[in-house]
Amino acid sequence: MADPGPRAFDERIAPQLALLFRAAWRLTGNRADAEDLVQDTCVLACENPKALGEADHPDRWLLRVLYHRFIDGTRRRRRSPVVPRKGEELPLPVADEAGPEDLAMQTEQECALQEACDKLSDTQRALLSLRAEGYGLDEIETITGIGKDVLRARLHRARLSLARYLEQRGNEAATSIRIGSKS
Amino acid sequence: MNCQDIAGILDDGDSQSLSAAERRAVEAHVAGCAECRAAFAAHDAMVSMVLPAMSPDLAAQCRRLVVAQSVGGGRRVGGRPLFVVGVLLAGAAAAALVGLNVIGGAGGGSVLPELAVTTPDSGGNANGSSAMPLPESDEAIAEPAEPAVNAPDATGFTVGVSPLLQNSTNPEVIRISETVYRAFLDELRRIPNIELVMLPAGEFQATAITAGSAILIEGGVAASTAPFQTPASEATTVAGPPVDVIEFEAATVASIRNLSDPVSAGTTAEGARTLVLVDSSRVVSSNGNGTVDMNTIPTALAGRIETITGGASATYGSDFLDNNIAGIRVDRRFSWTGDGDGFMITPQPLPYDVVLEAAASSRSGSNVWSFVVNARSRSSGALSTSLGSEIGVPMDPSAFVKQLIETLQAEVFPVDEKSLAAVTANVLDRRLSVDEWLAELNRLKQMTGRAGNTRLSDDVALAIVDMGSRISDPRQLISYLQALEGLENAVLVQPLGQALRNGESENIRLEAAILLANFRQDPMARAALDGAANADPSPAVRLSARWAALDEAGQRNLIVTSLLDTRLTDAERIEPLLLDVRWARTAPVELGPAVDATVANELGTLLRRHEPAETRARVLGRLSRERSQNLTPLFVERLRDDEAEVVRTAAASALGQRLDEPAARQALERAAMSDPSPVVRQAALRWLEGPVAQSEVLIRN
Repeated sequence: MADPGPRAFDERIAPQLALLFRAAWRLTGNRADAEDLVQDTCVLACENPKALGEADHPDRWLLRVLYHRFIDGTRRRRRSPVVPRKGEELPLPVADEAGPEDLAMQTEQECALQEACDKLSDTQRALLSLRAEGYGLDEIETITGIGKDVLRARLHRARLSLARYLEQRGNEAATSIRIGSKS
Repeated sequence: MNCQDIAGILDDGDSQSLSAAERRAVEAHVAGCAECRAAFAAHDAMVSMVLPAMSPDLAAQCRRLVVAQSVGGGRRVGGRPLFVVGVLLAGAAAAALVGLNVIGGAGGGSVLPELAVTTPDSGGNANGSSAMPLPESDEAIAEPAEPAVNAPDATGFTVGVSPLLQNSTNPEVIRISETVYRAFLDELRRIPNIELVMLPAGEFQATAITAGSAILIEGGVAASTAPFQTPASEATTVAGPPVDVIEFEAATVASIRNLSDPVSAGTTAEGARTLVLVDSSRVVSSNGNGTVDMNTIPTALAGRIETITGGASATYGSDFLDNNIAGIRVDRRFSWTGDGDGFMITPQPLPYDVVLEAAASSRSGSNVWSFVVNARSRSSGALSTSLGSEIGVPMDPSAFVKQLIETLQAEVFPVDEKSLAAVTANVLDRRLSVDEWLAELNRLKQMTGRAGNTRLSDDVALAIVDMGSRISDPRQLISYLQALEGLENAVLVQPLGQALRNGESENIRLEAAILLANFRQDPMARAALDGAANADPSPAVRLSARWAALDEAGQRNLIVTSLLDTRLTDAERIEPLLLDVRWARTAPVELGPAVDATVANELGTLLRRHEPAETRARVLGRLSRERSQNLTPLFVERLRDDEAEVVRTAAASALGQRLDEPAARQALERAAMSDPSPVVRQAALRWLEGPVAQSEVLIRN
């Protein structure tokens, strides 16, 4: 039995899994839900092997599936949310010479960000996540199916909401402006 | 730069790689615009979010799901659901006393017994050939990808057949499962409109473990082709990323945040503080201290593994101290057994409307094997009764398959006047090919059977006989003869009689003789049977014909007189006794009071010298149904003296059914203590009542 499913998975999905997982994590904020979302996405994607095989950008096509799956969100809402204790579940990247203070600060920041993200609507969170993954307006339009004009407005409002939530939390570090943080 | 430009950068640009001039312009604007400052902060926060690495198991998990899904997609022919029956066969091995002993299921060449059209019991002696790889191909066996050719309007059944136990190292498992397998498939293939579908080797393998024994399931549903000989490494998959897996002596326990780590916890409760749930049911601890051995969970079938920590876990119970749960959400198709003592495969995602499962297992870790087949349908759950067998105890796959097919038919084809008339018209249609016609004939038979009126009108019966007279192919001929069974019309005696007189092969004549037994009141049938009983070249046919002409009292008489007739050879004397077993379609004749002391004596003498051991075991299996107390000494003697393990086991099981007799109980107790074979000792122990009695024996020992 030559299944199209496994082959399509190996060829088209497997290379994108890391990306999908990143996006799923951004959307869900915890590992279990992120893994669920990725798994659901894989299954859904393989149910439509033709579209999967023909997509010019498998990553965008898969993200579209993932996005819609997330927005449908049935499973997420059905389950009681699991709130991790502070900092738990977030394996911290061991930065060069990062002292305990830095780590603590970073943890605090991440918590603040997660909490703020949780307050966003699903769509807002998804849009900001996609944007943070480096997708531009065109691509986000493809992925979400939301028109560009609406998209602009929503992105803007989502950013302001997030900023407001972050501010409410009164965390200085999170609201500090870091333009061009590469430098 | 204005707010719009900032939004443009945030919407579409790359804020991380602005030119120096742009960055200055942005900073200048942001300094004076609170809104843009907030937007930028939010954007940056999202971009710099710390993302954990993907769990290395995720890819494998996803792939497994995808494969399961694509297998479960099902296929439909002609817009109408095609019946597909998947045959899942499983073998089991006894667990070692300590730890678990999982049979390796490494992929390999498919080992499928070649199927011959024989009487159902013919595989029973296939002891020597069992280890031999048997060829896979047969015309009736098609790849599932091909459409069912012989199913015009999708009224056929498709049977998925899995390769079986190809790597089992236990010859006993191979032997019994192959026997059942062959008999079973033979039986399925008697039905003309059935298509056998071979499930590919290695496609599905999984390990499931029930209490006390490990079961290797092949032809199952898990995707991985990897062997599962290494339960400890598999358990790593179970545990999922946040759970450490600690190998602790023979068991593998889940530990979350080291609380269950024997080193850091420093207590005797390793793993006891983590609740393990499978499909929301607690996994019972595998030892005294509450530890759950992760090896007992078939990871290959786990659909999702979640770890719940913290306060939310309290909803699942309070008896675990660190509020941790390793929850394993298993696939839909994989679930607990009804008794909660193990896992089982459920057929939902398989593309079959019915799944036939078979498992060989040994009870209580003994080496006495039983083989159980049962069927479940996707729509209505349990379809049919189970079919079980033990070594030495004959089984009857034909009745099981018949019942299964009838149930299937009843689900799909309701009987009403109109459909009955339509099928009858088809049977009378001379344009059909022989196979098509046989399929229609079988449908007619099944429909009339369900309608409770199997009496055919004369013209239909005559037409059937006429059409049947043109069949020459031996296999089709047998199918045809079998299709006649259960149809009532005296005209049908004629083709059966003709087949009995003129059939080319012994098989056909045997079949005809067996079928004519239903018409033994009919003078024509009697004449044919009597003729064959005297004149047939084959002794087997002669005996069967003689047997078929007798009513139950006559058959009982034949058994007894043959046993007592010292002019015959040993084999000939015993053969009638095993005949009803061989036929496998009539209820066995209860000898009852006919077994007097003389008969029991003769049997004892015969068994003392009769070879081979297989036959002795079968005789004992046959006799174990008898109630006569005269037989007890015979069983006792076999249990004590026979050199063959299989015979002693059969004797033990015969004695186990008459425990109310002190002699039987004593013999079993003696065997449980002093038999040279552990297999027999355990079998005897198992038959002695309950755990109390067992421990008594052990203490006395």
